[in-house]
Amino acid sequence: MGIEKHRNILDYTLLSLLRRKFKNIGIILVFTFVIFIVGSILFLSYSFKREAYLILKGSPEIVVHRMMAGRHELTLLSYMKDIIEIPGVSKVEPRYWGYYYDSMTKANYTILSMGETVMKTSRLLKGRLPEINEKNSAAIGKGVARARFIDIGNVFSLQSADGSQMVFNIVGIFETDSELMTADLIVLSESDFKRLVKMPEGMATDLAIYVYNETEALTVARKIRERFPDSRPILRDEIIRTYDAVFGWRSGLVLTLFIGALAAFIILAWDKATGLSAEEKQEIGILKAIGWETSDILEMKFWEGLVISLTSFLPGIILAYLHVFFFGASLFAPALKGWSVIYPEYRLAPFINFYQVATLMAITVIPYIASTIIPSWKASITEPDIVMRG
Amino acid sequence: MSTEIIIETANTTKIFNKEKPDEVIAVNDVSIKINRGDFVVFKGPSGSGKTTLLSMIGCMTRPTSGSIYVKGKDVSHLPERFMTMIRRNTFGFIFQQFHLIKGVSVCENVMLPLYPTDIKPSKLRKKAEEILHNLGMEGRKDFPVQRLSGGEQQRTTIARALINDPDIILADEPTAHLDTNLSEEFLSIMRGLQQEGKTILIATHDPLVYEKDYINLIIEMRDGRVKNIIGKQ
Amino acid sequence: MFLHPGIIALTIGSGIVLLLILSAALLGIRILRRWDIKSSSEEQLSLERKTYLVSILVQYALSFEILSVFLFIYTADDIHTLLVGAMCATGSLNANSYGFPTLYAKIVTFFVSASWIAINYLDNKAEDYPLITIKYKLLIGIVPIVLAESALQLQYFLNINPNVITSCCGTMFSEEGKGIGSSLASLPILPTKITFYSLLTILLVNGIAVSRTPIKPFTYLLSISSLLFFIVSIISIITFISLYFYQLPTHHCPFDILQKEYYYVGYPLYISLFSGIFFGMMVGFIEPFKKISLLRETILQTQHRWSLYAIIGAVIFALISTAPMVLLPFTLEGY
Repeated sequence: MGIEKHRNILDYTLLSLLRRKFKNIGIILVFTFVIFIVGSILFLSYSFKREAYLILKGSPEIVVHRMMAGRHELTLLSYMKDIIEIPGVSKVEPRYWGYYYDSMTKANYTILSMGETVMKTSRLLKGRLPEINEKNSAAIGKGVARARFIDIGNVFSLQSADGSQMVFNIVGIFETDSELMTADLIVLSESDFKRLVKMPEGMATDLAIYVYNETEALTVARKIRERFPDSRPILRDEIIRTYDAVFGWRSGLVLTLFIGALAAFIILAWDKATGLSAEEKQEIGILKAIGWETSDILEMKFWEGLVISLTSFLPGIILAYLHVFFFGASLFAPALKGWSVIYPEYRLAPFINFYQVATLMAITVIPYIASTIIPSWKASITEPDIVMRG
Repeated sequence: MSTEIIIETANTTKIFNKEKPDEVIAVNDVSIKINRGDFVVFKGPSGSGKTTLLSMIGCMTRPTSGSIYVKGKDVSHLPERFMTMIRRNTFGFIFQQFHLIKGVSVCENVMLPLYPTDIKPSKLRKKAEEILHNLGMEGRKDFPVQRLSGGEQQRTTIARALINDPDIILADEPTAHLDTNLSEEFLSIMRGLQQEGKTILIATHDPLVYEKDYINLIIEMRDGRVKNIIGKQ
Repeated sequence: MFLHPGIIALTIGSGIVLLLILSAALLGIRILRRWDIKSSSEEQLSLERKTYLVSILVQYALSFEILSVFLFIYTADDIHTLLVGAMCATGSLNANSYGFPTLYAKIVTFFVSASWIAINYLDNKAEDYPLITIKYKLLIGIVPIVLAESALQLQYFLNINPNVITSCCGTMFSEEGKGIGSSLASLPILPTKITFYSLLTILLVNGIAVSRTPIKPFTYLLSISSLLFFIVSIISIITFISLYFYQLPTHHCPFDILQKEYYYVGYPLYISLFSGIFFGMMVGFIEPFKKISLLRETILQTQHRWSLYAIIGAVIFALISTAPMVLLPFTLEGY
């Protein structure tokens, strides 16, 4: 019961695969491609999920905004003093944010004002954030900096709601794990923000509510809704769940469509494996005649399948990784991403874990290995005496 | 020399495609006995059943009826798994077509029969090199087999047949593709092995082989039956 | 049901396993009907060759099954974010009544197909294949188990509704809750510890006895103590072992130890437990086959070897689960 036997058979399998490099290269290429596609879908959907998670990690447990005629309205700051009195609420903060369409670069930016807690967790690549009441200064994301060809110390201008130009000094540039989150960001002081968008006094975009105990968030949300029927509280958990479901569902859908391609590949592999060439049959006959047992041939075929799968798996998964994290999943990001296509350039945070690799293997390698069983067996029962007859 | 019976067949019959229109009785009711250390020739034209008989003795295929005893053990009903064990431990094979594996080196071809055993690769290689050395093939051991001459190929197959240190060597028409010189060389190697105590079984219709005086048993076959048994000594 | 990559992988996987086991069983029926080891007919030869196919079908099915147990737990963990109130795999498995039964069915399938392979291994050692009838009857018996497993899993995934509030390890295994999980977590720690270590000792003593002389009372006792130790071990992991890994007196989850945060310690833990228990149980299971004279010698050797595997598995498992109690400052005294 040593392992030498298995090592010897593996040795011979490698030797005989190398001899037939060209016979297997086709199947390896196709399989690599299959793994590349499936892997890209998986990586992409997981990195989106993770981006969403990173964004939401530091966000408040509840966000409340006002609804009017089914549409999002500015929220009254006067709600704050009622909300803070609800038991379990630790802090209420107004938030000021919105979008800015820049006709020069034809891109949408997210504009945000510095609240107390906003961006406390974000790291700046260089520089600092504008002070609360500091005039005409801004911190911008890398995407904006790239699009406008500007750097720290430069100035840039935005058009305010009344048509006049407002000039800002760049005091900081963002760097975070997640570029999706800050690439298009422009952070201004509260007073500058209100001037830029002409927001009336006593209003905020929405309110951020922090609770002492996360599990009570639902109760707090219910009370806010009772107190202010025109408000809509959104739980952070709900947002995470929605992101997860949307990305999971989308990637699942694409995967399902792709199962067809996988099946086609399996048929190809089956065909290739069953069509045992005369030379190969002869070779198996020789091996059996000189003392190899049927189960030894089966083992050889098993190694063969495993070597082919792993030879395809490694480049496939590396290519998928490069595709998603270095080339922004250029092949099919539009199908999986939900938001604006005219979004500034971004780079996804590389994220890969054991589970993704295991899932990828389960979807690709297992069906392939299973499809080799019958052909391997057929090859293995070649009769040894064919070498005597022929 | 001991008189231990190493192989015995009792009413051995092999029918291909039994109960079908193309039924062929390849071997018909053959009963022979072979002693340890014998040099045996199965003589007869092609289609006489000598190759089929040899493959049944070599545990490659089972007889349709009758028994075959190898070293006293009935192998005729053994499942393939156990037939292989006996084949691997007892027999060395030399085929008409050489049947070396192309693209693989001489040494590895020789090592092949023992790959599926728990022998250490380094030990196995040493053993193979030793055998090749004895056959004067040490300079060719890393050559791919397809680049060998006919005589070298023949010696490689002999080395492969010897790797498991078999009691019995089976050779099917070994001289069919060799010129006279090489055939003589082959036979002298076989003679040497016989003198080491191995039992040699050769199926042939080449007079060069069966006219050698050290052959002590000639079994003549025709139409699947034993026509004549000539024992010497 | 929603189209999550892990769910797709598991559904395809269980379909494949079902297909493999079904074809193996169909071949098994044919072999059972026509088998005649004495015959030299072409048919017998072709049946013999089919036995090779059956055994690789089952072997591949088993290896896929092992992967699927881990993938299933991982997937349950991954989808907990979709389920309100679920905080880990336990919460996801509780999302409907099929979650835990699926996991149990997977564990049963694992044990049954592994024993089939073990019996097949023994059978192939004897020239007349004496266990062939038992073997193929057992194989037919595996079919409903695998079928049930696939059905349960499918039901589980079909009935996952991302809006149902589920309990999670925080509530299911918290001491106030109800149900089987909670009653395990609230078992008193000291008596559980004593039971755990006494059964471990009994198992080891029997294991050593069998490895010296594989004879009757010890072989059966090893099987029984292995089975009991398995049950007690699972209870112990929930009751106290996991707590030492999490360093939290209230976190009773048997799955989180498979996560990166705990250095994947769950893998060696469960693998050593499952393999040790499997070999321990098999020692007694094959005891009756000693009556077959051709197998007697093989069985004695095998029992000797398997009892060693059982000892090694149990010792590794015990070391891993004891290590944090000894090495880490965390203590459960007073809880």
